[in-house]
Amino acid sequence: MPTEMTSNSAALSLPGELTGEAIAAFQSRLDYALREGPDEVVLDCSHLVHVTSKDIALLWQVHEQCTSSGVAVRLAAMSPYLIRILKTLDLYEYFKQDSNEVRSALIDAVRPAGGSGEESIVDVCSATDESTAGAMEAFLRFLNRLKLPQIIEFELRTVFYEVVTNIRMHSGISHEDPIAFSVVASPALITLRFADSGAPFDPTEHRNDDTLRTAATDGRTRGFGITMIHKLADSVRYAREGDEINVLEITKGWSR
Amino acid sequence: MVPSDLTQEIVRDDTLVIRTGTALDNTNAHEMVDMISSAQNKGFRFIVVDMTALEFLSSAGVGSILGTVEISREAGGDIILCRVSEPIMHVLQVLDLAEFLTIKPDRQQALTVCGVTE
Repeated sequence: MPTEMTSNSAALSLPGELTGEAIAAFQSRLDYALREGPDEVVLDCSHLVHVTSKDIALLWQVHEQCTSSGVAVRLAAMSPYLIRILKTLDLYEYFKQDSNEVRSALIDAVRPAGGSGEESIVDVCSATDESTAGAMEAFLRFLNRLKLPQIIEFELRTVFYEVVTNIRMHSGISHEDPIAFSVVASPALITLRFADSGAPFDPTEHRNDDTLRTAATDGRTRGFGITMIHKLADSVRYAREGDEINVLEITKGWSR
Repeated sequence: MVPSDLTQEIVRDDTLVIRTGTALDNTNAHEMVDMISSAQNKGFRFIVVDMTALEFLSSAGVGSILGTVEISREAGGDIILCRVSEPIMHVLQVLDLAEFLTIKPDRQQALTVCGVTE
């Protein structure tokens, strides 16, 4: 595991297995890097497959040592799992983040296989109001090109809005975190895929057709999004990929 | 503060008309609930929701009406929707709410339910 120095940053790989020997070797490289006076230390986290309390303790130790030397710490190649643990422990904000790797993983999770006669888009937004509004516009532009029946387009718009809103409000991701989506249109079927790095959530286990009927008597004004998605879509499938990424696939049949 | 796209008009001491903007979703559904609840507390038994401008209705928007309608009905009134576009009516039908909610084609017929003649 080499230490790479540029003019203002030092890149180190965190050991995948924290034996006493590995920690000592890593500490030695960190000490050496800090003596060179970098502006930041970039920690490659790609070897952190199973994140343990030892890993977190080491990350925090690196943070403390670098901070006391006036050096920022940036984490690269973080898995969504590592991100979630750091957020749970309220440590995420202490590190500079490199979310490109997470974005790539999410895009890969929704990327269509590609088939003849299909049109598709793949896009990614962050969970802010502005970014999700931009994603919705891109989605609507794509649907508009397909010249779908008005009702189908309206249903798909509603499903898209409900899914993204559900991810933003209930998955535990932050405003900066990415949400990837793809849309594939074949001559008779629209397939939407969404991927996020939030907490595991399977909407197919939360369908409740009675929700709407009982809401009026309960005086309840929220919590109908998933029911609405199920009612408006033809199929809803959920998968948790690598214990890190939620992938939701929704289909809707159509014809001109 | 973003100006509200919901407007209201008192047509009788127990009847209020609320006009929606182009969307009733997460951004303004809470405001709709507040507006309806406030009107109910002030004794408006009938609330007409004029959806002439409405282009998008999310689950939160549906919930703002669904979760408040029973209070009006228990007071001997109702929440009446009018000028509902075809796509939104379709969604209400798919949700099995088109029969449950009182929906009229235009404002005049909605006000007739309230006993108001314009």
